[in-house]
Amino acid sequence: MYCRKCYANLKQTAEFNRCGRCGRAFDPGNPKTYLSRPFPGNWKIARQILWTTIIGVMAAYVVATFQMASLGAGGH
Amino acid sequence: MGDTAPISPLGYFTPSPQQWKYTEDAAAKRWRYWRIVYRIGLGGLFVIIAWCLGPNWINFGQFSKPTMNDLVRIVQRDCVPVVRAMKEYHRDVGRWPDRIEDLTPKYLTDRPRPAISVHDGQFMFFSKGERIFYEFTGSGEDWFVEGGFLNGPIPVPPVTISPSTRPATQPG
Repeated sequence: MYCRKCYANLKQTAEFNRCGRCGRAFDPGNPKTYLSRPFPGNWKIARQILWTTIIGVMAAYVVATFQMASLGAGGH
Repeated sequence: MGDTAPISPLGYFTPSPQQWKYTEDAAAKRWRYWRIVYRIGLGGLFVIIAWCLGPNWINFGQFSKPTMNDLVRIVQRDCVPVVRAMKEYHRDVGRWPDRIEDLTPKYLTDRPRPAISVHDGQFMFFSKGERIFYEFTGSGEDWFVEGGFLNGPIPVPPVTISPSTRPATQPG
């Protein structure tokens, strides 16, 4: 059992039903409230990759605009 | 340690060092290492999209920066017909065309792309952020490119035309 927020081992504080490091509550009887490994879950990974791609594409438009502007200002 | 968990008024568990001390075993350290690798991977993905692939795709329509081979295809497809028409006009009329309209429809049946400019005997084409031009002067006749990514001669042979079979006349 690992905390979904800070990935701390919850077995050490299972009696409190809260993460000892960040205080996030969990239910030992409900696997959805904790992680089976101290690593982001598949859905979280997919979400983070999606957001990284979306923000990357937005940044790419800014970079592309600056590249073309600098080429234009390069003087022809 | 008491029987009840020490919960603060805000609802947070606040253990004292005597109640609980978090210890990280070897497996946890290994997983922490993989989380760092994962975050570096996300950062790398962002940099690749934002700095390399994305701008190239937006500006040039391809994932890599333009190369001379890309320009060779563009020159052969879009530029050679116009320069050939300019040289034929010069051969027949005795002077270089002032504008693209001088070439159509007699020397150039299809109107060239808007990025092509013919002005006062000069040919110019802006493509993929580069300026492509043709040097008409004598032995140095050749294709050239100037721009932020590519500079120098383009490996396309100079445009040649057949000699005139009719007397030079003014069009119109």
